[in-house]
This record gives sequence, C-alpha cells and structure tokens, in this order.
Amino acid sequence: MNVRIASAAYAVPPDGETVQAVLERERVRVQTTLAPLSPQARQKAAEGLGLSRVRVCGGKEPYDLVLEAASTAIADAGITGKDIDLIVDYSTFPGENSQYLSIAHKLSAELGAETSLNLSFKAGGCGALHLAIKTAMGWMSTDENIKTALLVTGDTAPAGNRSLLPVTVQGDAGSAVILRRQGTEGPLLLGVEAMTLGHLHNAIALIKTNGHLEIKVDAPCIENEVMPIYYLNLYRLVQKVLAASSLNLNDVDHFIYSNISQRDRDGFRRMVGLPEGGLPVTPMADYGHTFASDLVINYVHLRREGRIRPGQLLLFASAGIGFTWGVTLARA
Amino acid sequence: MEIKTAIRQFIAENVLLGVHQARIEDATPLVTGGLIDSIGMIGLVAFLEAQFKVEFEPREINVHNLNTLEQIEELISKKLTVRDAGAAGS
Repeated sequence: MNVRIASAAYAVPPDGETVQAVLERERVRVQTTLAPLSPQARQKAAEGLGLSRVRVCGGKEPYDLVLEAASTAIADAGITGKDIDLIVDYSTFPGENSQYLSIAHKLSAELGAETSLNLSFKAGGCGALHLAIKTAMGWMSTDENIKTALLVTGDTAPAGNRSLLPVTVQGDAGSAVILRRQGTEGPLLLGVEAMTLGHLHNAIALIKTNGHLEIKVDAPCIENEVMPIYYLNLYRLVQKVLAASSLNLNDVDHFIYSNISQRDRDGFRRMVGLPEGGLPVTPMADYGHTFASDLVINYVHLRREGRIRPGQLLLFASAGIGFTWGVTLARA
Repeated sequence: MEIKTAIRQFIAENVLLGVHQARIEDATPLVTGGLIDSIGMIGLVAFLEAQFKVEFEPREINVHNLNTLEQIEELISKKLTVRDAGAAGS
C-alpha cells in the first residue's frame, strides 16, 4: 500500500514560562516525586534537560492549536477539508476544559470534513504518533474509501503538573499530519512498529485528585523498571522496522526523535551509533517536551531547513506512556 | 564455559571497560547498581541471545531477571531447558 506523509504542521501558544520558574512553582510536587530516589538520582533528575522554556496555553486551548496546525497542514497538502476521510485524535492531555468526546468531531465540522470518520484514543503518550499512523494505515487497507487521513494531537499539562521529573518538563503544543493513499507528494511510509508493556502503565499515570487531573510520575519505576530497557526496546523496534525493508542503521539519513531532554537525546544518539552532535538541533530549549507533537515539530523543522532531500531515509522514534515504544520509517 | 563465567567475561570486556572480572560478584547489582546503563543493556541482551542461542520476549527483559549474574544464569538456564525439551520432543 502506497501511503505518504503529504504534510505536517504544528502550533505552539505564544506565551511561555521558564523551566526554572516551573520547577520553583512545583517544588513540593518535584520533591515528593523524587523523594524515593537515591541522593545521586535526585541530583541527576534536573541535570542535562536542555530545556530552558516551555510554551503554555494562556487563553488558548489545545483544540485551538490543533485547529491552527490542521488548517496549515491542509493548505500545505493542497487539499480541502472535504478531502479528509479519517480524523484520528491521539491527544494525551487535551485539556481539563475540553468539552468534547473527541476533538476530532468538532475538528471535522470546523474543517468541513463533514463525512470523515472520527476516532480518538488515549494511549502511547509521546509514542502515540506511531499508533495513529498504524491505525490510519489499517483503516486505509480495509476501506478503499479512506484515502486521506488527518492525525492530530493537542496537549497541555494539567494545572501545576508541568514537571515530569525525573523525565522532563512539559510544554503545550498542537500538531497535525496528513497521510494520503496513492499520493504522489511527501515521504512514502515504509513501515511502522509499536509495542506496549502494560505492566509499566503506572510509570506515568493520569489520576484525579480533589477533582483535578494530576500526572503522577513513579520515579523509582522510571529509574529501575523503565530506563534499563528503554533504549533496548527502542533499538529492537528500530532493527525490526529496518530489517522488514532490508535496510540497516547506516542507511538512515535523518533520525527524528523526541525532545524529552538533551540527556535522553544523547542516549538515543548513542543507541543508533551517531557521534556527538549527530542529531539535529531542535526547538526543544524553547518549547519543552510537547509529548507526541515533538516528532512533528522536529520533522517540520528539518523540512523548513531544507535538509530532507528526495530519496533520503527518515526514521521517527519515540516512547511514552503505556509504556509504549514506536518507530516509523519513511522514504522522502 | 559456565554461564556466569561467560557473562562475567563479556561484561568486563565490553560493558564495564577496564573493570576486572573478579570485581563482578554473582550478586553484584549490575543494573540498579549503575554498572550497566540502558545502552549497555542492548549489548548484554544481544550477547546473551547470540551466545546461548535463545530469544527473549520483551516482557522477560527486566531488572528482576537481569540485575545480577545469578538472575541472568537462572533465566538462561530456564530458557535452555525449555529449548532443549522442545528439541527433544520434536
């Protein structure tokens, strides 16, 4: 099946906050989360983040960011809303004030995609883009009427929950990706793989406390259960996707990876055998970690900088809540 | 070669560069003790699968099974037993 990434776009709110201010404001939450760790691990938790600021929704909602990103992606793909047959919303934190069962429904109405099939799932965190791509490709392979899919995510940290230390600090963003079957423009999808280890579902959990959403980070679980196998599982998925196309790591021209932290990006760089500085600079210092939008943001920036040339191999990789790992391979 | 000896040698030569094998006791916590990091696990698991001709399911690869030489040996032994029983039955 010939499915291409016809376009991609993102939107971030104009307002920002320094990471230092976030960590100071959420000091009690951070201390409580990190308390079970060793003194060395506690000290390391905030080191090497590489995040200076995060963008924060002020008057805007994640839906507004999604609408903006989707409108841009539609225009960039040279299509109209009516051409969209499927909308997949994979937002993890669409906002406590979200009025909708799924923002896909309102989006379909406002974009003029009146007959689109609208789906929503909450799974995967920053690994959710791969699940969305796989879902869209599955629908495309079983329904010949579905030719164009719009994949969206819009996420904002619940109030007082921007710190996800010892992992990252969350910024707000919305993003959109358009996939087209039998399209002629954009990178051709070669493969997508994802895996989940459900016994790690509580590593990062969303719970309700006193009527408010709270992201609970189980720091010992992250340190002792997730991290030891984090890159191993990602590496095995990378190898699986590449092998299915008779390719190997040396064939990859661009690795597109999350903006969780600089130390995490360094870990991924070591995993794929790149030298120091081998991964492209991303806007992570100014945006923070924006969950599944990270990959879209980094892909858009590579394209804007003109670094992706026809024929080059792109490997998207990320992992997140679930715990979920995902890898997508595409040929530009 | 005994399972633990082979693993100890691999870890000393490839993961903990410059660390003498004798310093890796059977119960030394390799992962939670910070001796093997997340990247080191990639090499360790690849070695175990190649050396002992076994395959790990994703769920099997965790800190409870692979934190010490004793645990690794136990897991490998179990997998070899299952594999050999399967081969004998086929």
